[in-house]
Amino acid sequence: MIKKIRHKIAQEDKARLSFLGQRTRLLRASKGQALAELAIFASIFLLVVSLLVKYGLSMNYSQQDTMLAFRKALSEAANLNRRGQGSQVVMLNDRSFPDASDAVGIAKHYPVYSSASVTWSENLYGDLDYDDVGYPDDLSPDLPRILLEINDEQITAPGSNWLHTAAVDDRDFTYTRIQDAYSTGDFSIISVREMKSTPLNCDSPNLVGECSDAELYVSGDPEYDNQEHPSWYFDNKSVIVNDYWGSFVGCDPEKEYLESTCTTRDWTETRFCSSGCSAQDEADGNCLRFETAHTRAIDNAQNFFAGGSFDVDWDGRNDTVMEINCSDVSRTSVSGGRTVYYVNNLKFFNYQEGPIDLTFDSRNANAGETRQGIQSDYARDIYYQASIQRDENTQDIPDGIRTVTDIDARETITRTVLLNDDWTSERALEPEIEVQSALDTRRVEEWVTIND
Amino acid sequence: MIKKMIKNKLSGLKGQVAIEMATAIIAVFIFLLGTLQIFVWFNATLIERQEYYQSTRKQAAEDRLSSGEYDWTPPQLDIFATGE
Repeated sequence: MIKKIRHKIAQEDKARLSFLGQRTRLLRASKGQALAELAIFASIFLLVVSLLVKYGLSMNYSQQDTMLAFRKALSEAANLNRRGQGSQVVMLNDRSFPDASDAVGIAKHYPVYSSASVTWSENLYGDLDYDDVGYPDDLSPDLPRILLEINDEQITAPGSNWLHTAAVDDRDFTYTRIQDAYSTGDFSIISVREMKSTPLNCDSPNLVGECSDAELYVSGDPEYDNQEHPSWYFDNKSVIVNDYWGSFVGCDPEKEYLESTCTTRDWTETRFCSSGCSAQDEADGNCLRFETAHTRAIDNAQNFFAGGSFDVDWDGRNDTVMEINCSDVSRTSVSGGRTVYYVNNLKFFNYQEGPIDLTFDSRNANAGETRQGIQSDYARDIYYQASIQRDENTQDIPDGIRTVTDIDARETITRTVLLNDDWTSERALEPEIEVQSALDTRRVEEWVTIND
Repeated sequence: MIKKMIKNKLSGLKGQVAIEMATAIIAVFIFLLGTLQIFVWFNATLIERQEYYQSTRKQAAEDRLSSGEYDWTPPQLDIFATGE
């Protein structure tokens, strides 16, 4: 029995010696195994913990910003100094999050978006006041607005960019507001508000951008005040002429034009109706004439041109004419016997000032690439400076090489809000927002021993 | 004789792994406790922030000239809290 045990031990020893080539046992080679495993698995554990901490932080930031956005929108909408119908707050904050997977840099920034929209019902009904507004940057306190807040800096200007019509001869005209709409990133578009039509005193040739909800209609006549059936309205870069009340005469402009009652359009002597309404005098070429029974009270037989003319001051003269080029019209039949015309080119004329160089052309809107939204430039600057030093005086490692690497890491995020308000170019709104992380400076030193 | 041989065979085990395991387990438990405290604090922050938000709803709507900010500070994170 003892011999067998001895023989077995001898065979095991022989096997170990042949395997390792040294007189050691397998168990003795396992030194510090538990600590080695702790070092490996603990680093993985720390990585997981950092991911979970990042998740918890993200939830907290998200909750905080959502609540703050709502409170801001609430105070904006409820503000006693303005009677705006509502407000929308969009916030973007670049927050620092720990990132254990990134070897260099103190903290990376991640954007946290939040938005809130509040409508204060007290201001939903009643007359809106426009008389105290100016062009082009003043904001009417009664119009809805969007408040952009990026990293605690507010950008409030671009809530509206609109045409302001001034009173003519001190008469009290009602105003037309056509408000630019824009989108920032994935946010919603401001709806366009229209008001009662007026003669347009347009300082800028730029007309409306994307007017998804705007309606333009003539005031004074109860039929026109019926908002359910506007005479025409903007929709998706086109003007829709709705002849619900009237009949469409036809798109034979030269013929019709010569027969029109041009005398009702005094202002057009230079352009229209100079001598029997020759179409050649019409710089715009053909036009679409639209006849409707819903005319002004003074002249029920009045013919409207594309969009028609309005006599807003009841003096027998048509103050404003909207003209649409025949070639830009497409017609669609709508159920209920109505016909809706989609127009891509809209021109305004003022009876005192003549033609207004104010063209609305959706073709220009689609030409070229322009940017809109919150553009961000992200830069992560990391500087490495490495040097190799040979230290001959070191007693410990006389033949060693020491490498020193200085690392400077900084993260910079720049954000700019771009607004496209004339279809052809973009402009950056002030201020430009920049967020910088702290500078992380590290030095890594390594010794390399040279063995001969 | 047999006992001596067995003792020799087992002589490589000098309790090293056991000592290292004891140290490692203590370290792991400290990690776990600290992590748990951090996550409990995260949850407490979420809850307390929501409580404050709900309790100030009416005042926020009534205060029509406010700036919209709200004054709330998160609870302190005390990893080694003993509790009360």
